[in-house]
Amino acid sequence: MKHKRLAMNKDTRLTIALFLIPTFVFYVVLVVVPIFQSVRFSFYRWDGLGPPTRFIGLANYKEILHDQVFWKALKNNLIVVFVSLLGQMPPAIFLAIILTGKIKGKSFLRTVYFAPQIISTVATGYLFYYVYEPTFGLLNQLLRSLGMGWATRGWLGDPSIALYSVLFVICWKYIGFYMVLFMASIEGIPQELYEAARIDGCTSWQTVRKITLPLLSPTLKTACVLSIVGSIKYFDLIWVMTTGGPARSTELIATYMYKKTFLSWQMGYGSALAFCLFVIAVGLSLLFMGLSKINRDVSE
Amino acid sequence: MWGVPVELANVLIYYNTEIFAKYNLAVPTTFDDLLKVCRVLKNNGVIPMVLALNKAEWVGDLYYQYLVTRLGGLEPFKKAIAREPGGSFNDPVFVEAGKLLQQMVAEGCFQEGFLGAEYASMRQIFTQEKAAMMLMGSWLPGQIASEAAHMYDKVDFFNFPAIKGGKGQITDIVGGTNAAFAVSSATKYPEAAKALAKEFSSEATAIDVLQIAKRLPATNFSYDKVSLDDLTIRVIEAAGKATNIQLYYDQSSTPNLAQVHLESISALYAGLITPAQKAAEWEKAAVQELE
Repeated sequence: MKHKRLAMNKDTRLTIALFLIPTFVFYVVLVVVPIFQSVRFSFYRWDGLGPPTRFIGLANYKEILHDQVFWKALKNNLIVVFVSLLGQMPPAIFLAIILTGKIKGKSFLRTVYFAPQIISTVATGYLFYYVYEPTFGLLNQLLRSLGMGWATRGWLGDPSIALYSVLFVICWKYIGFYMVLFMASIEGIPQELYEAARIDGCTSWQTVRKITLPLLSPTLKTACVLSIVGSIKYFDLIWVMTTGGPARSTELIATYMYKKTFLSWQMGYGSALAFCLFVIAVGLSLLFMGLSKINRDVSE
Repeated sequence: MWGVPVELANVLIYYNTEIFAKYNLAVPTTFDDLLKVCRVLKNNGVIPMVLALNKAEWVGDLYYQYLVTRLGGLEPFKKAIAREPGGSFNDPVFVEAGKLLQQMVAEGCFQEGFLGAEYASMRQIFTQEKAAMMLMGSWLPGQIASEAAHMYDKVDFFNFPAIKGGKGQITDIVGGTNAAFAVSSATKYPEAAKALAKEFSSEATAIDVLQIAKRLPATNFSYDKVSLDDLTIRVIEAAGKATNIQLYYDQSSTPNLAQVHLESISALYAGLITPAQKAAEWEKAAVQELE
């Protein structure tokens, strides 16, 4: 390894640098710098007009600790994390196993299950708004025509179920994405393993449990990190369907941050919320990766 | 900063005259009558008043503003927002208005699930004639004319009813500026800005606002130059007859105070907080923001 690195000539290094520079510049300008900027803004009380002048130290962060809305939003975010993991991973794995097996109409079904991922988020939001609409929406009309009028409700208006109504749509949208991820991983598993298993007389359930699932676990781990981080910073479908309402029942940290920053014009407080969001997302994914590493070390 | 208003709006209860005629209902002039009308409509399977609070807390706020204005006139809000001595959002008027609002919800004045409905479906329900009444700004007739012209002739309006013992008059109106043109006084092109402001406040613009959009212009115009339908004329007259105008609460507040108010309005409709809690939250935010 050491020899190889020494052997790498100047030209190769230059090529690597040239390939990396454009991405690196965009990453620094659009991600790294804004993160530091928003950390700086979070120490100010600032309405966004003119340069920030009222330095207040950690006061914004102290306020966040006592902000009931923040804790409510964090709780909602954790619900999104758990429901997304449980509602997206198992169905996605199931579909991936079925659709990499021997069934008819595979490519058609793949397209069907992947389709929600391609539809724009705003279109998805409105599509399901008209499913959930309380007076003439599809779901309530269907329930009424089945004689189940007692079950009708304002799916996005009842504070106790609004979050789950949106979560159903989020899962519907993302299952296809993880399905494709798992399918790619399953197709990379060497066929010899399956052949050997068949010769040894394994049932198909045994092949899934002993070969497919263990070899899928690195991809599953990646998928879980993606899902956790995505759920913590989730914004779009909530914003399109409820903007965090009714009465904060679907408020997430990202929607609350947006409201504080761009509706209440409390740029400093919004920046402090953004930094908390960043810390929570990084922290949770590190925690998850740490836990799954311990798990692997133990099982090895 | 310089600015000119382009469009004004007054908020009225629009109603479907055919539904009112079918159930022999008279236009209610008191809050108790309004509740009676709602009961009759509900018993006949018609949605009495259509409401939407999903991404549209301002629609729910219109009811609250009218209830406060009918109970206590314009003074309580004016004093509370200006932080005048004796002015407070804990004033009993704000609590009482919240109670009447929750009473309307409890009596079924609004359609089921209104907390999850958006402004667009509110108009759909009204124009599909599933609901009898809709409290809305004077931009509504123009929207009905373009979205559901076939029922335009069935639409009429009345002022939000008076409340027995209240200090407000039935001709006090909630409303305000709906569209305006403003420019920084530091602009490099003051002449062009002035010309544009003049154009926006011209009679020609007023006539376009009236005829094309069926909305209330902010400038005087002569009736000879326009041909207006009966409803539009009477909406303009209602604005002219207004004894007082209560400007929208959210527009009269600082951005953050407006947000706090609108969030608590939504919680009030959902029954998650009591009217007294709503008033206290509002007052707390006002103290933080304004004092």
